[in-house]
Amino acid sequence: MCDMFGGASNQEKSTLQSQTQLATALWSNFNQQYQQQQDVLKNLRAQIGRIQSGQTGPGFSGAENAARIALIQNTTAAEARNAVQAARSVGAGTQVSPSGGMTRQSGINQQIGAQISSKIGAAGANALLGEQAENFAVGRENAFRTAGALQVLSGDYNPSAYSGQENAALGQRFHMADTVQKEEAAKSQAIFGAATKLAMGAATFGMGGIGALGSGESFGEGVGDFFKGGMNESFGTNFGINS
Amino acid sequence: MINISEIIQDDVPQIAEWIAADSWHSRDPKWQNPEYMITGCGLMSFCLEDESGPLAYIQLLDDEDDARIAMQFAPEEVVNKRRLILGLIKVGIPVMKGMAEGFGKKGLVFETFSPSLIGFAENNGFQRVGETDDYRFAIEGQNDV
Repeated sequence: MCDMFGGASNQEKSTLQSQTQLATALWSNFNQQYQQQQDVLKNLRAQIGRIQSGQTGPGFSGAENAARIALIQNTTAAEARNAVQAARSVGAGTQVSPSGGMTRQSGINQQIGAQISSKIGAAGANALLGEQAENFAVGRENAFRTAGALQVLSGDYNPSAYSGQENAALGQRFHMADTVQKEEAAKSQAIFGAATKLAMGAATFGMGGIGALGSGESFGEGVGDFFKGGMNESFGTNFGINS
Repeated sequence: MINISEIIQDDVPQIAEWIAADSWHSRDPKWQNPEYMITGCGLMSFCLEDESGPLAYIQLLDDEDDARIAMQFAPEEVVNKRRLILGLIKVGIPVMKGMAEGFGKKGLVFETFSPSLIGFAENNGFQRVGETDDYRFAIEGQNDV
């Protein structure tokens, strides 16, 4: 509460001092965390560029890949046998011509069998191509994922590694510092005005936005209908493989 | 080329525009301070981009054993869905999974109410958490205990 002359009371001054100290500590923490994140992102960016310009290789192990291929081949062969057998069973005895009926029926069966085998063979080939595409898609995901994990785990996350270092983002940090200074100014006004919202905002900022964005965060509705056209329409028959 | 970059103060006006154009986030009190998305906040904050510009602004938040995703997308007339999805699948999601792993998290989680986004998540290894609206990717080797 202000005194009768409009100046700050001792309690207000003490509160302001505490808030200033808190803001300074939070700013220091934020700045340290900013430098850590910035360096990880810089290194990861370079790594991602290298990965995308080269071959990331397959993702399945040799045994897993062989098992998947064998499954496709066995399934295809079984489907072909079953389909041909079914066609023959249906066709058996349906048409017997007085002149060479059995020969004609045999020829029809062969033609049906060949057509079925051809179609199923094509489906099997497509499945094998799909398997190969999936194999390399998994390999690509593994490469990016590993890069992300390694960068976060790297020694670059040691804050002492940055002591005394200048970096190219000094100007950007100036902008952020400027923002924080404005927040501090607003916070002082808030304290004297008995408002807490801005002060809490500054504190949340220093805590890394965790409180601000909360545990209930989500993707936004801005993307809510981005699949309305359907995955197939946008990416072909298999979203993951054709990405 | 799809890649990531830090989010700087100069990006804040665009983030604010995208939030304003987002029918959900624009009404969400947690999204009223776009400055919280700049790099340095959360576990990690970064921009997913391609050669044409930003695709999405992403933040990983500490959520106990998991890393929770906060993400701001562009309006579709700014970033079409093909660009966005390719960016997410090729780089965004794998990198987020890797970061969560690097932070020692057991999973990567986000909340959604969109059926189409649910399908997208499930295609990328996320599974619904019980009866909640959370979808979670379990980090291999860190959910065994």
